[in-house]
Amino acid sequence: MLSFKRLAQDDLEQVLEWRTSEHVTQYMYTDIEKNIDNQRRWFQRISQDPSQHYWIIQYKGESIGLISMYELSKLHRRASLGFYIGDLNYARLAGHVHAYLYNFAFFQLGLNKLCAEVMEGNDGMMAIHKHHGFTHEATYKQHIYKYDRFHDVYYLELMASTWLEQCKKFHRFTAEFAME
Amino acid sequence: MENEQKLRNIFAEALQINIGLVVDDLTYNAIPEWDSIAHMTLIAEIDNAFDTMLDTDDVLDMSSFAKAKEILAKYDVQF
Repeated sequence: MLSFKRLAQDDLEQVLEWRTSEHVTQYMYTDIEKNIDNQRRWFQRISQDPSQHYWIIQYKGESIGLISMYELSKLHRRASLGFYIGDLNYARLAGHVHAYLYNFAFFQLGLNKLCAEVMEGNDGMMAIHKHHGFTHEATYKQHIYKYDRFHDVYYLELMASTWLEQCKKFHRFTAEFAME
Repeated sequence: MENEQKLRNIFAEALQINIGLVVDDLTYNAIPEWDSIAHMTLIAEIDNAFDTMLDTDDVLDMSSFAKAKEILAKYDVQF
């Protein structure tokens, strides 16, 4: 069974290990230093920011990845998403995780829209988002400079109406997401 | 169409491989076509075709064609 535990101080070493692993960092906008003090400072910052929420993805109590909402706006009723599976032994669950957060976002938080950005080349993530009803709305050309060249970024959106009307098969995937 | 052939077709289509490669010991990650993303497509197509709602344990456990038949038998799909 999947569950989602709010990110805590004692998760930081594991998250840093995942974040700096090759399969995760390759499609992030930046590569970060493997520095636990920096990680703790980042955690302090995001803990005080009500627009950012991070959860450890757990399978039968084992931590396997991270999922997040950021740029959460209660005024505009939208948020952006982040996700990775850190433990590749559970990569098969990559397409199985997101529906839980989407049901929380649309049915519990009452959001109208979710947004996602995917770096050029991350075809897997594009497929996962489209599988869940996201549409590719724009391309930010040469948006990120990394590995000595520019990369496009694809911007996708999922409207609440689409989730409600066209994604009913995913509505059974519910879980708790602590916001505080 | 009998269920085994139906499942074989689903594997071939979801993984975009020749149906001749879909044998009992076809295993996740043993071929590049069966990666975590193809696995997501495979699960979705199995759920659609057999009218199942595979739970998380079974999504993770479905590591081979043989295992897929074993799992679907729990959902009353006969082979």
